[in-house]
Amino acid sequence: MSQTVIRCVGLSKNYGHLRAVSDLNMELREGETISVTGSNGSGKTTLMKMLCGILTPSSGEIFIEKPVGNMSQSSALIPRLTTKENYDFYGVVNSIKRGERERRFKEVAEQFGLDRFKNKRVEELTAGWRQLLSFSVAIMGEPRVLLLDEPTAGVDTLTRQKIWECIMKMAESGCAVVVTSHYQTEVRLCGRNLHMERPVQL
Amino acid sequence: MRRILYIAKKEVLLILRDRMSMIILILLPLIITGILGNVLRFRLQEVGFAVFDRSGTGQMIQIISDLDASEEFSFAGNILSEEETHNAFVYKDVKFVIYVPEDLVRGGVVQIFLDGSDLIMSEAITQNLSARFAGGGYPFEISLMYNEELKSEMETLPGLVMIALIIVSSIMLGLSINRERERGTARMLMLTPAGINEIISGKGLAYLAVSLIHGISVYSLTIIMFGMEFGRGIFSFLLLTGLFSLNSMVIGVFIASLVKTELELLIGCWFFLFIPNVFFSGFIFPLQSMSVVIQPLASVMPGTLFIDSYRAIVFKEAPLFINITSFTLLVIQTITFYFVSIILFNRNFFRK
Repeated sequence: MSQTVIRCVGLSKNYGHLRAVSDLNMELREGETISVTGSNGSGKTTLMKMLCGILTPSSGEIFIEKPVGNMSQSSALIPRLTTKENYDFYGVVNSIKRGERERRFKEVAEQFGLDRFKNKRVEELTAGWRQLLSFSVAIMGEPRVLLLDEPTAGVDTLTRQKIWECIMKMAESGCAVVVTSHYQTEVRLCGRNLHMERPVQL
Repeated sequence: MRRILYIAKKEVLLILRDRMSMIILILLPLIITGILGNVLRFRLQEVGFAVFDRSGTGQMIQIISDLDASEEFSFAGNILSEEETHNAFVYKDVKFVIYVPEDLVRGGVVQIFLDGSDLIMSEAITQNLSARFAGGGYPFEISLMYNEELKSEMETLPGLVMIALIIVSSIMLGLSINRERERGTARMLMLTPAGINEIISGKGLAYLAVSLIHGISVYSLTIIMFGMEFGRGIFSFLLLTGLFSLNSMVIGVFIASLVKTELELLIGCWFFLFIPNVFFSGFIFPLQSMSVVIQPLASVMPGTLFIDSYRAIVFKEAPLFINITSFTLLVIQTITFYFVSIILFNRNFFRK
């Protein structure tokens, strides 16, 4: 029996008189994938922020197994550092030892073709390569839960395919994945779907 | 005309709806008026002085009593030997020493030794004493100590160093923190095992290193410009530089924890760090010339503590313990601001 890694009970978030997330109950087990859909402003990003702990819920409880890998809409990469320097920086703050870091970078570099941009500054990379690097950083800590907020926004079909191949591989190895998306093809790849309604006025 | 009016209307709406524009438009004139009202009326107040009377005749008693009774000066005590003159400047915070010669009655000249490390103050004292002594009928001479050549760099150097350290330590660190917040790096970092303490300490360490490099450059410059002996007070000086930088950094972090954008941070640093430290630290206007309301506040400001300690260490060769009060105050302020900033960061900054 696989273990529960995310549990939300009565989760709500209010912004003034607007309820962005309303009384959400959700449970996710190891290896499960769930897509979060809804129109713009329906509270998808708010939910993701609450799940990764940077936004406090107005009410309700969240249990989430750690380590958590996160990829938000705004790139967390440091523009003036190179691809490798960014990877190493997040590796060090995630307490990943040098040898292990090198091994994992080699893996993702081969998988995504990041190797040829190793010494290039992030500010010089195209949006697609940045997304790939952000995704590599999100999975570097071998997370038990992966939170991806529109991971394929603004990327080409090939990059999207690469990212999704990796997401599915992560899920097969037992990682629970929560992913927001506007693409129906991506939604269909996930085991479950959570559709967010428009925020309600209190 | 209609278009111009519409553009004006839009501008008014933008000003009214932007918190920072409102602060600049309303607070800035008030702050400038307040500063000018408080510091531009240059007046000496309770400036300490000591007397070395070798004549033993007490003929100068009247002048000294008059000085002590005035609002401008305050008698700090008698000096019994020449060696004590330097000690009076360093330990008793006197700004001038009146030396009454043995042969005063036979036409000897009264010597007034002034602390030249504070040029504006020494010039004001010179003017005041010249008027008083000229009327007293005694010949007198005024000599400057610690800045015999009246080098104006001596006056401005501590203040300039202070400004450079504020920019490097507080503004640059604050901007760096805010940039990471706006970019989303801060949020990503929050999900790693590195806590807020580690994030801020790591960032601060880099700027502390830059500040210490600045400190070493200034120390070397002081040796070249003022012929200061190498090694003199270097430990105290670097300690002061490091402490002041840390203090500025945590104030920068504190401001960063309260604001949202880079512009707000710059305005915050300008209002609450730069302007007060430049105008109220004794860099431009002596503390003694400020109003009694501002003086106590100004005397514990980081800039004031830095400039006073700098002058004492570099120009007067004061030992470390003389500045212990300033150092302790800097440490207390640093610790307080640090913990308040951490609380605010947890509450406001990363979780917005």
